[in-house]
Amino acid sequence: MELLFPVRRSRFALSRTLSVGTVSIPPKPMPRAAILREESVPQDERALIARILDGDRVAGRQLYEVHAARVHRLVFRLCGDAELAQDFTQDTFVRAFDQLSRFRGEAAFGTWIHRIAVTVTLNGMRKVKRLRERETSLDDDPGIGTVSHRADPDLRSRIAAAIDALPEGTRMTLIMHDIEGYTHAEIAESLGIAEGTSKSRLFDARGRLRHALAAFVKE
Amino acid sequence: MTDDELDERTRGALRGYRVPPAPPLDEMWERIEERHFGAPVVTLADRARSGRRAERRWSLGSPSWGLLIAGIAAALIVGVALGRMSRGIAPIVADNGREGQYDYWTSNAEPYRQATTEYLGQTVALLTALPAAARDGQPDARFVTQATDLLTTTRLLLDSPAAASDPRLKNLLEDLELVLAQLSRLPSEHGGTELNLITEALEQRDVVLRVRAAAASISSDD
Repeated sequence: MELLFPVRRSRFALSRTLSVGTVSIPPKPMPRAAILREESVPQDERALIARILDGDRVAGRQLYEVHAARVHRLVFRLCGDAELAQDFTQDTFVRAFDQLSRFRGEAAFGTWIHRIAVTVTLNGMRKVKRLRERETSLDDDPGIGTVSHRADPDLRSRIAAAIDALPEGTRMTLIMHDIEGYTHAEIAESLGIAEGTSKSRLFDARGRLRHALAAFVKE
Repeated sequence: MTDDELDERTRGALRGYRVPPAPPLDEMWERIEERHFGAPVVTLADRARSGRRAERRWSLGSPSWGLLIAGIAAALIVGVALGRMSRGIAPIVADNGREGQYDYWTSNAEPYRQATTEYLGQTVALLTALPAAARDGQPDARFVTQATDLLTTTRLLLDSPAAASDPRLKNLLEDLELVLAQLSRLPSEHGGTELNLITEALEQRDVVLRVRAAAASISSDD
């Protein structure tokens, strides 16, 4: 039984017109662009990166516009909390811009920033979870972005509970592939794993979901 | 329910898993711009919001607060050092009821005390060298090896009676286990970004300061 299918989406395009007034404060000086030598980075994106490295905040906004929505979507799917998703997305872009001089263009910028987003989100979730565990009792703690695990006949609730119960790496792979439409190559690059590992994790995730939903099929 | 019906409903339910709200792009960008590029661009439209911005400039994470926190951290380090100097070397005495002490360090725990002190010293040395390694942009292979060795020691200490009877030490060891596990898994290529993130996380959580304070407390516990 083929249970799950990826939801493919097109890449975000520059959809907003930027309105920037007179710059009255000179931008912070930054090191000159690193060599962006690979074809994986489109020409216009390379130009944007070079301008950001020269301190051009308008270029920063343009690059942000291209990737922010997708990064935010992924971060929210992973953490399930609107405020945390906002904070983690901001941290992701600040860190990406701060480390942009080290971006060599060997992978697509989108892949690179998604890798940062995953790392920022995981670190942030662990930190918040630990803080909550220390500050509140287990009975009062609702968890990070979890859904209710009360008995609920609705399939959506069952699937949400089953996804939440997956191991961290398996859950991320399922969310990225079957919900957000990332390819195995993108997942492998973002999570720092082999493509084969991504595929086996997805297989494992689907198997666990089938198992979790087996009772529902019988009903 | 047939398999096909279940497939269809499953796909719908998956798409409904944690549906993201509309991203507040402008709000997020204001903060990103302020944090990375410095003071925001001043436009006619922005002037109407200048009051709100002035308030935000004094939020946590702004350069002014960063300097203040750095100053407090420096003062704490100096305070710990002065405290140790003024106390001198004192005998180890069991006193489990006293707040702020690492509790296990009775006289019969000398082997654990020595091992833990040595381990914390090595960990501080590794962690304090991280920023320089991050600046170089590529993690040294020796870092990964040393982090792996220290990770093994961390897990041994976590299973020891010292950690079992001292919750504060256990919490510290668990934090260090997380950091060292990340360091031991740094990729040989493109590890600079991860190293920077780890370094920032360490700074945000004052991990080095906490390890130094623990080492000082354990090694000269009175």
